[in-house]
Amino acid sequence: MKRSYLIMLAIIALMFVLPYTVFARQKDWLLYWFWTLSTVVVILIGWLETRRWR
Amino acid sequence: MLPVLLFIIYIVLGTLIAVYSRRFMRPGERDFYVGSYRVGGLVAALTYAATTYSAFMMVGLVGLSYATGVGAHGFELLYLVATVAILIIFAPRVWERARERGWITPSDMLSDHYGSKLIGIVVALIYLISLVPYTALQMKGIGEIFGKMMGGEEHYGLGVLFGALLVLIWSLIAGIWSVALTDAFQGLFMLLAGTLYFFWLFLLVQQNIGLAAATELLANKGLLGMSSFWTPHVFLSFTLPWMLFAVIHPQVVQRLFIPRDREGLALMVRGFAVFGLLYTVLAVTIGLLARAAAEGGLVPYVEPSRRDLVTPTLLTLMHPLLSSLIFVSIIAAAVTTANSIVLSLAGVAARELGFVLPEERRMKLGYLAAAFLVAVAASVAYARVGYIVDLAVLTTTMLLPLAPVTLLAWLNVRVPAWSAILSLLAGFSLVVFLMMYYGKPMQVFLLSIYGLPSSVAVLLLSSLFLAVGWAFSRKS
Repeated sequence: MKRSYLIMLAIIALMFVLPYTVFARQKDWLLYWFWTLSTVVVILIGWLETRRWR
Repeated sequence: MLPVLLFIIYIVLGTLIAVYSRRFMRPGERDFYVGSYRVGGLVAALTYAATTYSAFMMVGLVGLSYATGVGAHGFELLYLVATVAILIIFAPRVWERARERGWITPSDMLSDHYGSKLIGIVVALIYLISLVPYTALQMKGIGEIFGKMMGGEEHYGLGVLFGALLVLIWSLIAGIWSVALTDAFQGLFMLLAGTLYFFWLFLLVQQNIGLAAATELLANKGLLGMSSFWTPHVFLSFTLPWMLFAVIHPQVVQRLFIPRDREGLALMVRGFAVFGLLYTVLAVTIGLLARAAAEGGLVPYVEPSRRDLVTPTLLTLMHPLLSSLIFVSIIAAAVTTANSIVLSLAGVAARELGFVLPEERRMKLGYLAAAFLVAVAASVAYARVGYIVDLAVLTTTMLLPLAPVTLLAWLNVRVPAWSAILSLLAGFSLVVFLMMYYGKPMQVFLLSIYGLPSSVAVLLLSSLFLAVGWAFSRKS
């Protein structure tokens, strides 16, 4: 499997796990930003992949 | 008067765009349902996004964030990242094979891959049973928003009628061309209205209590971490079915066929991803800010159990021009979802149930199927069948048996047609059985079977039949 696919899958797994471990009782916006920035990273990886579709 | 004026402008502009789109149209089914695979990337991106994001976003998701906190953000963003990953991995091969094999509907795709007409008919029936309540829910949403916009419940029926007519007319004027172009216009409008809604609330909170105090109010309620609502089981039950949305909903699968070239396909995926991120961040942040504003006494407090009233309550506090814009954008979100489903289902019904007919007659059957579906959905919405809201919750779970079968087709793995048909029937029957046994769709949605969400049980059962079929085919 491509390395970029594995990174995307790893990020998705972390988006499930970290909220119940590291960020469970968050009192600030860290969990909000963790999910938002994880999504940005997946979109950027996807963006780079789509550049190879030409 | 202002909401009526804006609504009329919306109808006129949308209809002008739909009529204009006829200039792109060519005769034949392939053009009517998939634009002969020549839709531009930007329009494809906007129609994909507008079709996916329904009225749920600015009503349901705002309310869910308000009531349950930041966990709603994770639920919706996990749907988005999973969809982006699925599109990145599969979209190019699906797009290419659709051209090679002449696929027009997702049921064509499965019939062709498994070499069985029967599988297309089974898929068509699953789509029709699962998606009619979901379409009816969109019409119900239009009726309710229209009623609130006009200031009286008595206008509900008129709202449903307007919604039904818009969905039908904008679908049939030029098929996918009128749907995609009106979706593009409405998608941009949804994003603009969502942005204005966010800034109105952000300024209200910032100028009156400040962001630091708002954060403290949310933190004190435990809404910035995983609140008691979002247990791991509930989180998985919500996210797992939605993560496969791009694989199982015909209206979005069909959109993988339409871009005119690889560049257009790439633009569709990028555009959808950016739209999805912006729209999700706007909806969730609005919900969280609304809760802080309610806790701080800035806006009326809405009980979390009545979370769908958050947006309607906030709209009553805004300038009429702004609230009218948001009202109309929510109607647009419902229309874009409903018309794409109706067009997709009409194509599936015409091609699977009328496969013995010549193309010209199948086209007419497609028009009739669209009119019939809209009439059924509107009637159900008009009658306010309470069960419909519950049933629509289960739509994605009911469509889940399609996931293993579709993913195998996308991976170009062949199993005997009988195992694919059994896989679909077994998964679908399990959902129907659970629904009849428990009586409440929401209970089935959140059910735990040996510690696993019901969606996982459905996926496992469907996959089991495919595995048996695969083993048989290897042996023979």
